[in-house]
Amino acid sequence: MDRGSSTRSKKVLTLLHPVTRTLVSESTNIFLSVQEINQLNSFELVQEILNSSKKYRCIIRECIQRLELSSQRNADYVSSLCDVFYTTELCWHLCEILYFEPVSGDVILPLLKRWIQFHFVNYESVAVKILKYQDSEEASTNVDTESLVPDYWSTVFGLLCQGNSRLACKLVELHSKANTTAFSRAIKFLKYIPEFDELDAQSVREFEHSWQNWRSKVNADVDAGTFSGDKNLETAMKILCGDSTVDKVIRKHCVSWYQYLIAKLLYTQPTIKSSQLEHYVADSMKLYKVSDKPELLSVVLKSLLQKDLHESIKGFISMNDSCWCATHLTNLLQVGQFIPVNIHSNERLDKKLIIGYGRALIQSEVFWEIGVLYLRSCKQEGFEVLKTVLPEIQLENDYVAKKVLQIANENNLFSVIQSVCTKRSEKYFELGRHVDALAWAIKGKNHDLASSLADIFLKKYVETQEMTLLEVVDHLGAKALFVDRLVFLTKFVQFCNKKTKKEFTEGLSMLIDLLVNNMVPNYFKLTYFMEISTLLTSSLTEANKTDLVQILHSIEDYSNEFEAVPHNEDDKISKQKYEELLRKINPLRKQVISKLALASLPA
Amino acid sequence: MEAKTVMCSYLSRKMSKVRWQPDNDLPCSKFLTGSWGEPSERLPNIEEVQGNAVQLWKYVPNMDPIPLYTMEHSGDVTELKFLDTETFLVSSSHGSLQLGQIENDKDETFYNIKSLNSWSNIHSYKNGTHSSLTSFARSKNGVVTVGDDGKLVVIALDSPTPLCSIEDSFNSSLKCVSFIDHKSVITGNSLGNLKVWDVTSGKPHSVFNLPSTLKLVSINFIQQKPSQQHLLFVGSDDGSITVWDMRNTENPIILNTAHNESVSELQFHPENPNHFFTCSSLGELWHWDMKQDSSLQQWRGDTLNERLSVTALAEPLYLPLNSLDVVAESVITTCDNEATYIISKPLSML
Repeated sequence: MDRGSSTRSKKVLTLLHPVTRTLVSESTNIFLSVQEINQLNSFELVQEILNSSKKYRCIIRECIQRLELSSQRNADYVSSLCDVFYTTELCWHLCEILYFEPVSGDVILPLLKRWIQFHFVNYESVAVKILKYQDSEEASTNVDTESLVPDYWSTVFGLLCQGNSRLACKLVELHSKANTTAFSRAIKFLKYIPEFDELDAQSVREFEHSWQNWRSKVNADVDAGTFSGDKNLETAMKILCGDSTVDKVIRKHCVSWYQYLIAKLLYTQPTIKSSQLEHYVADSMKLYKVSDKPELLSVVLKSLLQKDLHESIKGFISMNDSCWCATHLTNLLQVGQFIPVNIHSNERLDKKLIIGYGRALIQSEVFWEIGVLYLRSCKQEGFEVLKTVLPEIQLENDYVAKKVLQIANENNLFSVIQSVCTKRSEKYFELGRHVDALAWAIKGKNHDLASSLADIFLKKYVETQEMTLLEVVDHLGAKALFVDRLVFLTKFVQFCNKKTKKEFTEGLSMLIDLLVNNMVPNYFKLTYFMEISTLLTSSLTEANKTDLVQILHSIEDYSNEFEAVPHNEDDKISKQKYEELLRKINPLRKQVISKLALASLPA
Repeated sequence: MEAKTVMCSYLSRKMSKVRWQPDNDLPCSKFLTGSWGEPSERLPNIEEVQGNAVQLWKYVPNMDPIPLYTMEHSGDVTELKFLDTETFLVSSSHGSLQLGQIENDKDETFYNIKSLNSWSNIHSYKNGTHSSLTSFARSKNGVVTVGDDGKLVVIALDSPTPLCSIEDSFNSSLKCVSFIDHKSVITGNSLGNLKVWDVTSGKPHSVFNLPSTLKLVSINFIQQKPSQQHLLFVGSDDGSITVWDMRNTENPIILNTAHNESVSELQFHPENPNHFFTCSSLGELWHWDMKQDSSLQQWRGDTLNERLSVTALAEPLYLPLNSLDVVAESVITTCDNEATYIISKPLSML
């Protein structure tokens, strides 16, 4: 395995296969709708939890099917993925039966029987094959069925272990000796095995009564030796009446301890309640020698049958599906109120898992937007995590940045907004794209960045007397007014526009306003005064007395400030600078004074 | 009229663009997608093409789309447009443009996408790093591309190198471009500025700015109304859609019923140009009927999530719908939950 590539996505690697990716996307829909069912009344709640559980399982099965179809490529890896999700679904299904399914009279076995039949179809498919074969070979009547179909009896036993008496009966009916007394008795017993009908108004007691009746009849026939002519038929009948002498046969036809457990209970305790299951688990596991070092599947199934939810969840977490199952199932159990909320800390067991899953999705890169939805469902705690993980998303371009920004805006995550905008701004700054850098700095209300960018534009103007922002300023908007330097820059650009339009008088009053309000940065002042000077030179400019006095004051302040800076006698550079300043500023001073003198003349 | 149906399928990638392949025999049954946000590093154990890709799919009603061909693509797909029934142009966030051609054998069992020409790194910054090629527009004579580097590049499809490259004096990222007529193009940038360029000399020069009042809002698309080409529909990041009449640009119409968040794309119904469709980053897909002024029907994410098969009617996802395309009988849109939604009979009542 390439180690380098596994770092980013190690946590959700199983979910990054093209097929399993659909599992992640599709389950998000269900997850989000589950979060809404909190508001339902208890009856609807139970219904919705069950429906959602079935939907989740449905997409797992779809996923397995698609994996199987794609397995020509890299078969080993794909089949290992299949195993993972197969195990997940098997356990989830049992959990659904034990917790979410309404069980009338708490008679759980019919559901467990269906669970086994649903997941272990080998006997059924052999039986179906035998039946089809018999149909087509009808001509060859009276051929010995057993010798024709070597798996015949083992299929019958297997079906009985799964409680599939209907199909077992059909097979027995095919037997060449089906017309003998022993076989027709057996067929009758198989046909009329009492089934607990949840929909019928039958009470548990009634069912138990008819079952005991039926069983004692089978027992009596077994004891009377009705079936002793055919050892296999006798074994089948012994299975039916729960005779422990055939336990070995059951053991042979059940590949796992849980199949064995259910096979045994079917014919000994048909009305067992789910709470009593735990008493039988240990014995079955012992028989299959899985007690000491049980594999994960056994651990989870055992804890489920023992109704130890905390242990089950631990098991689900250890599954190799990147906590997909643990997260969604625990959430269902929590919303369905099967897990008590800790009264003291008000802590929900599912929250940690949802947060972990959401965080892992965000870190997987491809699922970060879906990850956000999970974190968001955890309200405050989720937002805390979002604040730390969202800024880690690689902002390759504006397209991605905008998506992160929208999420941050929707959820009022100001620190994320700032972080995204600052990163974009710095990126554009680095690329020499100052307008974009400024725009992002404004969006992120980054005072320092916006100020220093404004300085860049102003300093450029000092050097070149060119203003590159003429078009831009109209689009910066009111948001730009949070930084003094930007306010100044904006106003100055507006002045430049006025200058281009030769609206000198208005331009001059703008400049004076800024002077009075002390908005002009020091490094810009000299350039600024030169602008004023140019305006004053023009005959189009009208300057009144107050304006001129203001300008004169500012000039004095400026040169005084300069003088106030201590100059070292040897510091030639600052001396030169000062002289240059005087050389430039003095003409303006004279210009203003003479204008002022003119303005003071009586009209 | 027959009822509208919505079909949802998962494509295992987030698609930034989706386009029906134009077909001379209606209805369209194949579409192209372009993805975004796929990491460039490869995962072990996966044989399928990884990373961003341009994919060709076959659509059979009521079935999941069948992937016909997957072509690796460097960078996010930023725009995808068919030129005719077989060739298309695709642009990348890595600053390149590619001309591709769909090929298939006689029995239509094997498909391939052949690269006819490509122009790499046509948008880049001064220090040489690539910039996103955000959009392109096509006329008879060639292609104009724009990018985050603020440049306009003119390309002739048969020439291996761009004809010329102009930098916008506005100095902000250009986000979209559209031809107005054979003489001029219009660009929209990340701050809301709309600028008209003269391209008659082969070398574009800016003519004037539209009096756009957008502030710090990126323009996402400029779409010309097919039946009245002087009308431009401009969609932006704040969800607004503005209609500019190029004969009088002083008073644009701002459509009242706007999306609340970024409107990603707008497409006109090809046979019924008074109907158009928009999708937004809030997961909304809207159908507009211009005869009745504003929105006739508004489809939110939830009604779109109706699945015909297993998981019926999920709650709204609130994930962005990035792209959409319309042919006579079907609308297709792609969402960041890696799903595509195909709506049949889009003009029929809900």
